[in-house]
Amino acid sequence: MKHIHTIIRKESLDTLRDRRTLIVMVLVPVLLFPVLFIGLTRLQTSVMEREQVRLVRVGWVSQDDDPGIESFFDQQERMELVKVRDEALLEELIRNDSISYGLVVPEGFGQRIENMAGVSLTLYYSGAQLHGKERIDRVLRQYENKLVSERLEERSLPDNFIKPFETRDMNIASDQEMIGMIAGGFLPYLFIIFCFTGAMYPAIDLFTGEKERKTLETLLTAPVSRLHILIGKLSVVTLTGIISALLAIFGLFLGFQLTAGLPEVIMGVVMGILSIQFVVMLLLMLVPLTIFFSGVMAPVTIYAKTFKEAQSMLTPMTFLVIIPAAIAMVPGIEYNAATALIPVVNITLATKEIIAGTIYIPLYLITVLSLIGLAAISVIFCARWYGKESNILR
Amino acid sequence: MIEVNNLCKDFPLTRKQQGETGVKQKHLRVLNQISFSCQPGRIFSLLGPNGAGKTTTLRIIATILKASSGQVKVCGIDLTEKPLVARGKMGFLTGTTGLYERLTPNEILGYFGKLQGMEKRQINERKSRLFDLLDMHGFANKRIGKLSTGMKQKVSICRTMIHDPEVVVFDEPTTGLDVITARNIIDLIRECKEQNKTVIFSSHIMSEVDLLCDDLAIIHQGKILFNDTMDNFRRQMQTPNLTEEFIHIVQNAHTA
Repeated sequence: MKHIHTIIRKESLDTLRDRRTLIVMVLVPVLLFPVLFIGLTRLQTSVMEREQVRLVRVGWVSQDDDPGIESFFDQQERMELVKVRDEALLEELIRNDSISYGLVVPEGFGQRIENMAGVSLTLYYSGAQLHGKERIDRVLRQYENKLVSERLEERSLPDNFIKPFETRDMNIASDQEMIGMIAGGFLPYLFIIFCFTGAMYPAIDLFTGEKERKTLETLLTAPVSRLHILIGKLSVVTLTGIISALLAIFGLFLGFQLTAGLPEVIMGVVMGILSIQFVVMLLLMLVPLTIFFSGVMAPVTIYAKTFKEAQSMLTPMTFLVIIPAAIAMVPGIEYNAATALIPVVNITLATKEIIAGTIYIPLYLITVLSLIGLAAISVIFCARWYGKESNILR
Repeated sequence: MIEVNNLCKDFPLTRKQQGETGVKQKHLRVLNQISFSCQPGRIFSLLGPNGAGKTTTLRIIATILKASSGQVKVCGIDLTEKPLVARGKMGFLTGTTGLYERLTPNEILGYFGKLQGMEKRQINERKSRLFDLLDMHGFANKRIGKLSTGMKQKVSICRTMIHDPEVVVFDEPTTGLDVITARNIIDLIRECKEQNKTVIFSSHIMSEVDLLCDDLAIIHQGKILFNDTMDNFRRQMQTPNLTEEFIHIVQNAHTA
């Protein structure tokens, strides 16, 4: 035990002095969420503000003498009508940003409305533009509603004539459940990725790096068993993965704290999610998962001769983490006795349930125990691998 | 003391390597029944051309590799039975040994001292003595990455000697070093002899062997071709100088 402790202390110190590891382990997880949240909120606010004050030009092609629709559009705030003689010009004008929309009012439009005959307007817009056709659609609906109201009034009919009933939505899901459904799949996905990437660089540095720097022989001549060396190194690799995930949780908390203007309901639920109970339940899954990751990464990094070789062998393994985590986010995939046993998928699904407050404890225990079992298998395999001189002295 | 008896080492061959050799064998024998012994207070040199099996022999003695058959004893301890105990009595140094670039000499010596089971007080005393001896106080707390090759080699020496080993194994210790740095190693080897330690070193540089060793074994293609004292080697020489004699012995082995 004394030797393991000595190795853990030395490897931790060495790791903490490695700039590359520090960036991946500390800087990225702490800063990602605040930067993402603040950046996205600012961007969204600025886009919305700009859109609100933006003057919308509508290319107007009309062969009709009825001024009803034209004056209705003309009265709209921040909307300007630009008369265009030929419909064929509208596309070009939208493309070169001279107008946002083009509206073609057919001949006899007013008359046909008057006669309650069917008639259609042609709306030109670019679906590739950020604003889409939302603003002009709103005005068209308003004009349509105005005409319907006038018709009902003329015939002394109540509004219920065209709207016989209303539906009142009663969503029984709590705010926590709603956020659990939306963010529950996304958050564990990020924590799992941080566990993996946080452990990856130290794994390469501690195993392949030792080979590449030619310090391995020296270590192997010290009176310490290879199993103790392996346990010491694996402990540090696992620890960095977990610290990385914990820092990501801290970064998430920081992100929410620093983001101004979040509704109180959301803040309340978020603070509830980031409770001690949540963190403990998450860690009970993430710790064995990270040990499993370390146990899988270590044989690769033990075998690789150079940092580059190890990196190129480990990078594709990231997909083995991303794919199951993404599968668990697909709607319809449920947390049950089968999915509770699939690594990565089980953590994503279980976390979703924990956040929503609907976790079924026996299933959760199956997940934790299966992850502990996997971690043990990977460490045993790793110990055997590290014991073979053809692997470590390749 | 080091006793090596009928030592054999086989390395497994990959399918590709098996195809390259053209012979259908799953293993390559790199050491074949080698035997020798090294006495305390004497310097034993293992001389041989590249690929002769020197490094493999020393790695087995240092317990980095396991013997396929045969027996190796260090200070009377059988390496297959108690490798960890034997490691505590040995120091191992090569010319290409690396150091932890992000640690300081102080931290490295502390680390290896602890791994050797030394108490903090013992480590500090030993460190202080070694730093005095090699004039290292000026860079004891600088990171290895910022030190010169000579300084690094001094740290390697300290790391090898931190636990005051009874047996010191040097594998081509001066390879790639400049004359001044190599001199530090030569001095260390001599000092070990004066302290009655058992010293074994491998080399392919005859002048180095001539300068230092008391006993000599010439190894070629995994077999010992000569094993006797340096004085007897000189006496039995059939050529005008040591290098010629070494080449003569190796070439004779080829024709035999």
